[in-house]
Amino acid sequence: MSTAARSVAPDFLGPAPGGGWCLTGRRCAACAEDLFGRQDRFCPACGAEALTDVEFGDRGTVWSYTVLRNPPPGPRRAQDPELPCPLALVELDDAPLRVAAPLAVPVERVRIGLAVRLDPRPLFVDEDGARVVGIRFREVGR
Amino acid sequence: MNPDDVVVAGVGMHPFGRFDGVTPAQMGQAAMIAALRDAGMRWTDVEAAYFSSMYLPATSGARTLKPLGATGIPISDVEAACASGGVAVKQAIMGLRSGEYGCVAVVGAEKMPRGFMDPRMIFEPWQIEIGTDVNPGYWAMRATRHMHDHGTTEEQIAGVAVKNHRHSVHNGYAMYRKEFSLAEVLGSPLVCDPIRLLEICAPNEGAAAAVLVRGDRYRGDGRAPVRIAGCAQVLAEFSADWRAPMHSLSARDVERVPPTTRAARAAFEQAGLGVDDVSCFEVQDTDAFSELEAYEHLGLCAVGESGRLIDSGATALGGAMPVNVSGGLISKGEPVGASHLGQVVELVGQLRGTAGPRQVEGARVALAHVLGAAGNCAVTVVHR
Repeated sequence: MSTAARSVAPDFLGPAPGGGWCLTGRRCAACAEDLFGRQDRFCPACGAEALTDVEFGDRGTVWSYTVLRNPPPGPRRAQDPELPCPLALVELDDAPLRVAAPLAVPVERVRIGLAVRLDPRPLFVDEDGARVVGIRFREVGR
Repeated sequence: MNPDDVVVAGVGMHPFGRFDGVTPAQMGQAAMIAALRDAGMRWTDVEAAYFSSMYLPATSGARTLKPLGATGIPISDVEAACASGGVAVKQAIMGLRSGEYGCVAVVGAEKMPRGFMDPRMIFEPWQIEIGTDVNPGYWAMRATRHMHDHGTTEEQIAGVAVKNHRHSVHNGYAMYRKEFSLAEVLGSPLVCDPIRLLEICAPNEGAAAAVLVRGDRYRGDGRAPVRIAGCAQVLAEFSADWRAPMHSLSARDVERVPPTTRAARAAFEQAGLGVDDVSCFEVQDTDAFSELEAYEHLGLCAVGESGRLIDSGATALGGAMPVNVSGGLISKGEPVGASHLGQVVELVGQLRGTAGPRQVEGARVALAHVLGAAGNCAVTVVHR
């Protein structure tokens, strides 16, 4: 499967049960806090250790946003995003979480309250020929 | 004087800016020597030192200060992102109040590369890959949401930059000392909407230092002594704040107290003072919006009212609650490890009445505030 796609952050973005991709995380059995990603061992909200893996839905709403006007800094294998590039805090529809992610939405259409869906972006092809994808959202219906 | 009193016996500063060919150790030494001269003391009087930086390698404190005299005193490096200088002050106070030391030096120094901060300092590799690693981006999203919730305008945000750049004209330690009109600020390029180039602080270079002395060891020098009334450091609680690249942010509707509010409350409680007692403030204006938010979180106005507060002129020099009369980080730049001590240097000058054209008349109590990655926040209150 040298052409299979893989996630750049498997603890945060993984295969959805029904195919495609979904955001992944953990839920605290003690206080019901939802945590984005599967790297926490203890619930940061209450300290409990009883965390179970969950998959989140792919729908959300823009809670706030900014627009990148310059290439982001740092070393990356991915192509720089096309500028200007909106970045948003997306509040998930089925979990009280806000996730920071780029948006594949024209700048003039971005607004707080915009309904978006997960649409991972191919970032680069790795040594094994696999396409590596990262979190991104786009407008629902587009 | 009471042994629990902590006196700022002397302060010193190396200007903030760009100094090619000057090492951070040389800048730190310049600030330290200036602080010792100001205190009328010598390096051999210092019994311990705390050195704050974020970008410098291990033992930078020893490398900076040991050349002033290899007296064998403990010299420790401390780091808490933008609040690093507050940690140095806090550690010094605890060392003095415990009785272990009578005189402690605090020095902050930094030499940061040009441009955006290196994202590897605070972001995960996958966050860098997807391009969410732009530091001002996280602050800018707070501004967008505030505008949406409270009707805060781009003109009000720009008003902070206009005010701070105007103040900076009188500060020889500032990197930028130039006045800009509202039209010029609003005409400067967007960096991360709605934040523009002239509304943002530049990571840069510089150093600042203070000599702190326990009350019963303070000899006096004819000036009204400046004391530290309170100093607190806190970290944002879970998801209360995203001034850090935290990947998990709760959207639960839980009332959480912002780190700035918690740090200020703790410092005021130590001081037996309140926000109404403060004559002038130096606050973390990483970008112009951050200063507006600080107004609300420090209690200068109610939540949502900061836009109207900047419009009123109350936070400008000559107003009822002047903020960042030094020009703020927007004008001085932010050498992260030195920024809080730079605020303390400014405020000691204000309390001594030696601040020249930017003097706040009759200043008696002053507050310094820093806030950065991971929600690290420090507040120091000084009084005379």
